[in-house]
Amino acid sequence: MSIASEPALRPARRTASGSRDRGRARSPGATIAIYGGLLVFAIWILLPVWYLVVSSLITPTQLGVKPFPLIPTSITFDNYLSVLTGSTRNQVFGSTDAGSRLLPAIGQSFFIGAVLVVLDLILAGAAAYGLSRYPFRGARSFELAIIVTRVVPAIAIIGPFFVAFRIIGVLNTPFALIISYNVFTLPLAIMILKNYFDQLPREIEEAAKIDGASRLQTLWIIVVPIARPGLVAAGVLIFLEAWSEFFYALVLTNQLTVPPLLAGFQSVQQFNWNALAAATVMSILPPVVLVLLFQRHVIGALTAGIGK
Amino acid sequence: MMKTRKADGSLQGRMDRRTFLKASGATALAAMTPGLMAGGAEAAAYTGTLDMLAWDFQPDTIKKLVAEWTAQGNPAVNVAVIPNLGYSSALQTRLRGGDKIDLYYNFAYNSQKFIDQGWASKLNGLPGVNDMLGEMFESARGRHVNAAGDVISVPYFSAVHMLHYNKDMLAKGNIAAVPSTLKEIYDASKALKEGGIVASPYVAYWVKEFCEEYLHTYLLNEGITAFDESGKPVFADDPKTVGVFEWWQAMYQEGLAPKSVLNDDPGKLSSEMAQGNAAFFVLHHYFLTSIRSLKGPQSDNVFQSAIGGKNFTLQIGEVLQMGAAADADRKAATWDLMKYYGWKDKAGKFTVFNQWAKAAGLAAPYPGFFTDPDVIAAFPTYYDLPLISKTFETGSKVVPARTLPWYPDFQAKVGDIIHPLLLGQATPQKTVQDLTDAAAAASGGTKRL
Repeated sequence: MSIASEPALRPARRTASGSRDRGRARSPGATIAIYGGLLVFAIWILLPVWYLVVSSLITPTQLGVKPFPLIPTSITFDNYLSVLTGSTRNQVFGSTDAGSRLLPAIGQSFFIGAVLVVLDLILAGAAAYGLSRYPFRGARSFELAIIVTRVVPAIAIIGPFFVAFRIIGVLNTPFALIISYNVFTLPLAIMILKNYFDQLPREIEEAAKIDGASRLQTLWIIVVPIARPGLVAAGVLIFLEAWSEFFYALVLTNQLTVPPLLAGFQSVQQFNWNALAAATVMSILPPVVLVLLFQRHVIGALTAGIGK
Repeated sequence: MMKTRKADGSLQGRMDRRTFLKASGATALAAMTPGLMAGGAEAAAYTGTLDMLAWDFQPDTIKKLVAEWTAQGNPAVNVAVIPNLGYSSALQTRLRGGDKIDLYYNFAYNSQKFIDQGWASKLNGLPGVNDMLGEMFESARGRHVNAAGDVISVPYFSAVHMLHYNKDMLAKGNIAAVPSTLKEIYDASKALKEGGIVASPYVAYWVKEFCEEYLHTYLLNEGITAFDESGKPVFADDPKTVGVFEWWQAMYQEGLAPKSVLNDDPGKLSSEMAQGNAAFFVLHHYFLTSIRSLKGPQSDNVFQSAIGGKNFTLQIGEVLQMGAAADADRKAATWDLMKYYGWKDKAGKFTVFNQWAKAAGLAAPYPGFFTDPDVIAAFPTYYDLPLISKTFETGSKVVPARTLPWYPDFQAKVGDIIHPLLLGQATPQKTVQDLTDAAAAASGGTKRL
């Protein structure tokens, strides 16, 4: 079966499958089981998030009350105020200037994520397109090698990175992270985009070629627009990976980005879960908004090829 | 043996012969090179910028304190801060990667290892170092001076394990005296539980990573020092050791400590005390600040007491170490900053320690710290400073083996051995055997047969 013919077949399969599903009446027990399972799963996922949000809106005293007030009787924005202003009012607080550091850290995380998305989509897009359209002897092994690079532990390669960055003078700059994050974001992007490009019909590209378009023109004018969902999905995942990365940021920078800054809320001497919760809520807003905006593309790209 | 001088000129404490000879030699050398003894003068000789690495605990305070030092005509200091979580691996990667850090916070258990690796400098013979050691509690010196007599670090902060107890609950349980020994704590906890006063009376920070501190605390409470001066594990030779593990297991298995205590963090444990969900909490003395500042319904009923009876408790502390600077002026400037940060300022005041006392109730291992009027004013009134001072002086030990280069390997295994004991999956006898084997393996020895 040719790659180009596959998308045309897949809807037919879905239709046939869908007809079979519609033809079978689901028993009430099965429906209850499915929705019950979904409910349990949703609670499993959302309860920690709810706990986090509630923790950020109550006082340390309320946090210690048993049972935990899932719906607090009173809320306060003091934790947010404390994080933003550093005004601790003699409360237990590890980082009194966290507020002045949190917003710049969010900005740096955003900058690093954005640059990485653009960089990786260009590099990974070209690599994935090449792998998809120009298979060569050993291409499969090459793809596997790309995947393997993702399982190399950070601790094993952080030392050489540190030495190299020290010599070229980019330690504690966003560039140290932009360069090093490619170790895990680039393979991810290549995997997603290669899979996506494999699903795209080749006929359009061949038509463009007949019309006189060069390979690059075809890629830019024809392929990129129709591959936009895949590119968006890869971009979102790259951004999320960069946003949440801790170890490279810990070693190569001095709390330049959000994760090491949040980790600083727990010190040897003091713990303040409420402030940490408030800072965490603030720092997860950008990626949450991003995912909500592009979730359709992310799911579509990640499930592309499942019906093969 | 030679006595060392206290600040007032009297004699206090002991120094071994080797340390004394090193100190004497250094003093003679310093006398021949007056510039080294000039205090701030040597710092002024260095015109560059010093680099300091700290973990994230009130970085604004760190920068303010260091800026005050710079404002006294000393070099500028570039302060970098990274989180405590992962600090050790990040620091080692940076130093291994050739990063030149003049002064850094370090965990005491890493201090000798860093000297051996060439990442930290010995402080022997630096101007004032023996005065600093002379003013230090004798009990604390083993953390900063190794068995060979080399000075490897200065204090960043210190603390002693104390018993935090709920006075009101003890009264309700008709417990006349605050328990002190392990047996008394067990009996009191059982009485409070059976009396229905509190379901799980005892809490402690028994997560795997912290079991090692409790191992020493509980052994010391029974008068057992786990390792001798050469680092040999001797706890297995003491017949009381098995009894300590029986006690530990019983506290958990009989529900005197809550089931969740194997995963609870000190923030939650402080909250348990503040809310009245626990009557006893053993951890560093400064957690009283956390409990009180939570302002829970029982916060004001929580007080502090010494543990170990006539024996000891564990004294802990993290340290400052000097990087491997080759330049003499730079090293002199770094040492001047270290003295200011880990001892006293030029006016003889505990300026830096006073800030940490205000911030979180942290202590310094100097008797003079506890009698300084500014320090006394910095501590909230609910602290019994004479008791803490006395505990530092005569009621605690640092267990010097905890700074040996192989020790972190042993430390990492303690939690994996203690948790099965608490969960009833290992007997106290097996636990003793496993810990002995772990210590032998970490130190390069062989298994105990």
